[in-house]
Amino acid sequence: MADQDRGKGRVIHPASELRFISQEVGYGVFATAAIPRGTFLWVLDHFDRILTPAEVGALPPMLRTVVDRYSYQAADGNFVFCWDFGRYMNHSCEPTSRGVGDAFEVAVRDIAPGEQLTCEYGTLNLLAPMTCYCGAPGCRGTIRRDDSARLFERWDEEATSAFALSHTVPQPLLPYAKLGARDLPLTAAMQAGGANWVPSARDFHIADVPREVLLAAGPGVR
Amino acid sequence: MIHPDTRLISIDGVVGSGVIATRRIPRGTITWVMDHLDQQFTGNEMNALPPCYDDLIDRWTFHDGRGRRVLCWDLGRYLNHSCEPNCAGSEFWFEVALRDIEPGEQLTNDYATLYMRPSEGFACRCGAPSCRGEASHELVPQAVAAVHDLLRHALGDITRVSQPLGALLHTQWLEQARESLSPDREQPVENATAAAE
Repeated sequence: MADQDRGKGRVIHPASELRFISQEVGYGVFATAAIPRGTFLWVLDHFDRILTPAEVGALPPMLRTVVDRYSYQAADGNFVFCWDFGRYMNHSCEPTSRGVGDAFEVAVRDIAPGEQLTCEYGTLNLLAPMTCYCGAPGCRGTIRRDDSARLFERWDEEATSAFALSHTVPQPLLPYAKLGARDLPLTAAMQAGGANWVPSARDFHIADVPREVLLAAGPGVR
Repeated sequence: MIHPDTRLISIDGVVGSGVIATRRIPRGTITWVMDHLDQQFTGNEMNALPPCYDDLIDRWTFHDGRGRRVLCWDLGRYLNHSCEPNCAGSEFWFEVALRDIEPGEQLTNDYATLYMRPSEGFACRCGAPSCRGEASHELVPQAVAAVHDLLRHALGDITRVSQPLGALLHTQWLEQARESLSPDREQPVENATAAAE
């Protein structure tokens, strides 16, 4: 098996690597080269595991712990467990990328070598509120399941203007993408040379935690 | 899922990463079991993937000898090859330590007993005294026989050692392994090769 640290063989951006940060935070993903705004830092791909709420609820405890920590709930209600380093991307209240459509994380600013790649967990339908240590000037302190329903406007602005640049920069991950219904108009617009509209982050939000998942998690999750 | 007393380390620019034991893992310990997060793909599912996935398939999946490719979600996919392996059994969907594995030692499989595609072959640098110098897609019958022999003996220790992964092992998988490894029922290697195609 060849070197997963050198770029090929994973579907998070090739100019990135996994690093251990601390016992508290765990691992994080860091840029190994400059990555321009508009680049897809992560795409949903055909190896990412999709689990229905019923499948998550039926997992043995050893695996449930893993899925609770590393998966997110997508807009269609299913849970996505990334097979590669994508699952180690940390949250920041000023993230380097924003989720766009069903399959893309787009860089919303130019990223310097050594910078940590971060995303917004407020769009991931967290099962329980998460304390944030990101240290960004506007850090919210606690990240909640319904954040996207309240804070979507600025997130949408950032995502839209970054996505408009997506056809102007190299996109090494695009061939791997597993496109969902909301991605087709986006990629069509991109191939036509620009996109000014992206689905709102508000539409990522699912109000209720699925019953099967709540029951299996037991007390303490809400 | 891979045994909890393991860790990913960087080996070098050619081999890439590998998995080492962080504590002693005695012979007969279950080192890996197929679980609900490992994914299985049929040949048709693999063929339907875009061409850029060919490299990912070679690198990260293994063929179970029964027509499916398995993609491990955890460190299980980083096990390197050795001509003198210390783990085996993936065709039965679980692996067992063939001998005691010391802390710091890499966990390895003999790829000559697996079912690789031609594009997966490579020059071997495992450094074992009996190193064959290459790993190709062709099964090496002597290697298969040697590994099966070690595996049969290691399975004899399975109830004598601590098994952190025991809860994930299906008893029918163990029974199936015992049955097909029994000395009077050694599987002909030719048939196994045909099954992989």
